[in-house]
Amino acid sequence: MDTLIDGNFHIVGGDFTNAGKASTELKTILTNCGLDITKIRRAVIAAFEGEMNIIIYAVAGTISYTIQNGALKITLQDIGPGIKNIELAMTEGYSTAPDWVREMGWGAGMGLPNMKKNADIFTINSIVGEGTTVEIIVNLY
Amino acid sequence: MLLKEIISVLEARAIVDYTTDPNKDYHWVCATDLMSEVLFYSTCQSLLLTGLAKAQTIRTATIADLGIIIFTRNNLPDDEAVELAKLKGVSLFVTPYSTFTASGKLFGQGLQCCSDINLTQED
Repeated sequence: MDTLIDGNFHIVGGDFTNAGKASTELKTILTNCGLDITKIRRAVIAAFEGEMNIIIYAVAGTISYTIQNGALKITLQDIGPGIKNIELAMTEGYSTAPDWVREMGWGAGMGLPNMKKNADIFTINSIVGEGTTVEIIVNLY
Repeated sequence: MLLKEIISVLEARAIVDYTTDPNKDYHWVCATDLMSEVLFYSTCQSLLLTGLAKAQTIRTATIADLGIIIFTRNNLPDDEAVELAKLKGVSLFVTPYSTFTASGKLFGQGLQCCSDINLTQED
């Protein structure tokens, strides 16, 4: 099981100043690896949505990435309030974001559905009062 | 519609111009202030029309591979956004028209909403 690359980013909840910075850096890393640009686009869109969810809802979190066996795996893990109803949260347009977040262009209720849309395999686990973990796998070939 | 024609119709001016080809042809527009909609609906052949002149708009465009942003109603990007656009090679323009009017002008010239691509695919 050869690992081509791996690494992680730490995300601070509420840090809108640096919103998207980790995903943009991830895009540079994946581009430098010479991966297919359509695969990169799907992966970093999913990562960006997850990064924004951590910034909007959580206290803190990490984005980890690894390429193994022809697949890119991105894991987003946060310490935060968790999600009470995952099925509802996966509904396009459903959002619990406050108005000030919407005024910044986020919280439209598209984040989790868009992460799923761009992943070949999408899994989400959440514990209310503890946090949420999302795993995205994009097959590279 | 050629980029130079879009710029002319919208009476737009360049803030950061990395465009090497004013004759590049565009067919799709993503017109929204919601960055999640940009990520959900845009294609890398779209140009972005928005009133949200923030650094996060540049980051969103970078992630979504959008090379052109046109800010509406003379919303000028702040210094952070301009510097980020220069760093990432994103061209920024500003038009005096509102997002509604600018969208209407481009629609009238035959450009389409990028989310219609998905509707077409679903049909």
